[in-house]
Amino acid sequence: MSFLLVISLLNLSVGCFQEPIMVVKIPKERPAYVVPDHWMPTPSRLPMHSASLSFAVADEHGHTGEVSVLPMRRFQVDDVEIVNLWRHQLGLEPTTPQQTARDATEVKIGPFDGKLFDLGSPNHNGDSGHASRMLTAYLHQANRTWFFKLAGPSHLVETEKASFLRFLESVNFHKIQRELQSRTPHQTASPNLQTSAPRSRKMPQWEEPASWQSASPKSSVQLARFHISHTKEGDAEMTVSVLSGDGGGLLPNVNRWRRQINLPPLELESLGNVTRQLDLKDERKGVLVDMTGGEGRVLVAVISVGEETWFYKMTGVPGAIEEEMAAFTKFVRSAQYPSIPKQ
Amino acid sequence: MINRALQILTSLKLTVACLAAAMLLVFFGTLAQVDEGLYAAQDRYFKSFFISPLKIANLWLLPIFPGGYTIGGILLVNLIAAHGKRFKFTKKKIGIFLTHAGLILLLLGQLFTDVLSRESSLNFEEGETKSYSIDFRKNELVFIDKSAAETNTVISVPESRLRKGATLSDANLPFQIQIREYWPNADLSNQPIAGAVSTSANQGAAKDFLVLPAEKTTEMDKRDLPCAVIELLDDEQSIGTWLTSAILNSQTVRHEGKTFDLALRYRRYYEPFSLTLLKATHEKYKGTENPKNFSSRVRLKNEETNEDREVLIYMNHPLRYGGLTFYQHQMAADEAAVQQGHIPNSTLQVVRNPTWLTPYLACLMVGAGLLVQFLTHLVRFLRKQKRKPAAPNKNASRPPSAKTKRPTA
Repeated sequence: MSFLLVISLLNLSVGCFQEPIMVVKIPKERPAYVVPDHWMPTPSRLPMHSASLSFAVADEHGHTGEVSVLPMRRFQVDDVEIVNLWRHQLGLEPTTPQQTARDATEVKIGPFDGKLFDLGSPNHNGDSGHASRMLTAYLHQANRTWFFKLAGPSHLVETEKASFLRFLESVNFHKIQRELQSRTPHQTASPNLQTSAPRSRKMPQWEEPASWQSASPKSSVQLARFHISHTKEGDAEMTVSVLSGDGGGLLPNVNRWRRQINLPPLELESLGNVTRQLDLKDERKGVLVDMTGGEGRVLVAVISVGEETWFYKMTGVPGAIEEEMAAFTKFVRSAQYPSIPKQ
Repeated sequence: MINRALQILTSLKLTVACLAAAMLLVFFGTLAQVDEGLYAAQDRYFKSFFISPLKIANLWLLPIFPGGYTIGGILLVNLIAAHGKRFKFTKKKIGIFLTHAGLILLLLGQLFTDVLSRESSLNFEEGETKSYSIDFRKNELVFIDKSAAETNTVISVPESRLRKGATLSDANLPFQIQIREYWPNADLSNQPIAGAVSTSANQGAAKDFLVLPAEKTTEMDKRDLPCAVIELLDDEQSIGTWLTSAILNSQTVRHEGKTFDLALRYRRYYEPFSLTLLKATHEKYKGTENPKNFSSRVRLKNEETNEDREVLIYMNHPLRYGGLTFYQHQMAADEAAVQQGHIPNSTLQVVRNPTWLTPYLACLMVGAGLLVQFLTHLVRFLRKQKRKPAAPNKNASRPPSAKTKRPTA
């Protein structure tokens, strides 16, 4: 009897125990970023870059500048190439890797250490409407590179510098990523903002030479890849890729390809030596880049279609490229882009 | 009566009975894990006073059986009582006392570990900051008041309080919570499919959803996703009825000018410090999928103590901070994950166990006790041997070695 009583009491005591309702005060989550009130959000200047942030800044004299944030799939390039892209925008001469290393300063971007460059152009003044100075910072993460830029007249950039640095420090990457993703509902969880062409895009129609063997693209930037191994001279490879806007500009791209075949970079005025016009079937024009270096030959057709730039690149031993030149041109000319109605 | 009770409590038969019951408990508890799952079986068999009924795979064995707490508790009382009755503390018995004290500490330590320890996980992406971890199994119904400028107030109702028909209230809530329905594990559907049940929800994003009740999961790598229909009442006037589920995002409740986020979610444990994942490293042995090294470089920030430092957490090198231990648990930061577009992320296992030292201390005590006891006996034996008078020597002229009997093969 007493045993049953003990059991009942124990069971009762267990049954009566209730976890309490807890009340906790927690700090509010950090926002995606903090910007001063006078920074006005604006639509991105790059129509294909809806997943970017842009703010307009102005002083009392009506001079305006811009702050922008642009995440891109991680660049597999050196710092100097990134810096030279910006220098090109400011009309500055390309710099060297050594100078780039000297110019870089460490900056806090959210919890991370990024690199900051202060680039000034002597050719523009604040009244011309062009940016004469740029404060640019970037940060490499595993699968993307973040670019932060404050551009405008020199004095405006100087005035906004402190706010820009505070803005950089306030960045909450987790939240800003989600905010940007929410602006591009049709993109994947990891927006590839540089490549405006997700894999599921409608591919152009083209006439592939029968001797080319189709292969899997090596990166998400590439849309198609072909092996060319039938020539007497040796092997070659053909890739098709598309980038939004001007794809980073012709000169930086040409110099990137030159490095791949062990050639020194070109100046802007020498660009004509390696390029020529490519006539396409629908009266459009493209640019054909042809360069031969110690590591082989590169043949690239650069074609602007709407807001995108298409790159048809053939690399390999010079003889093989020469042999395939006609097939290459025919292939490029045969492309029928989805966004352009048939003639 | 008292003498009789003392006699039972100090009985060696009780010790044997408890040990036998413990063996049966471990046997049946282990078998039960097949059908009930590890955690449910642990709760029912080892973290309970009684198991009622004791059955294995629908085979009904006994109407009632003592649980882990009962057996452990009786053993503990038996040990202390027997010790008090039979042993007198003397210098000679210090080893025995130390050994028994170690055993008592071991039993108590296990009890406190059961009651006080907590395991949760903290998953974050590179660049993400978190000041909370998530329980592996438990869930909570939360109302979050975001009206204050600096802080949010989280009112958390433990899942154990979500019982059909229960009415709950809290001073921080301007309404009562009436639990209309509760399913410990359920899926949601927006299509009328077999087994789906409609609810009385008339508010929120999920009001038109149907509930698909499911069995509680017994698999280790899955967790239950509870679902509840709750009605909010103000002075017995209904404000509305919401369908909440661990599958759903938070919903909004507006009442008397206040706005609350309502969610049924994995239980969160908030800490007064934060961790930011700076770098997740996921190395594999070349040419294989075998992990070589998982490590998380984190920034630990505690505004109360002005701490702000970086810590590297990797396998077998946890971070111990604030009464918690953060072990490197899982990782998705390899090349394949990055190629698939995932942001590199890391999961830490967060363990709170205030009594983690007790097993070590108890084992030390038991070991020391046995050593003392053994040495005491050894010394006593050697002394006795030394004091023993020498055997009569018949032939004093023989060398000493010849006295010793040569051992036989």
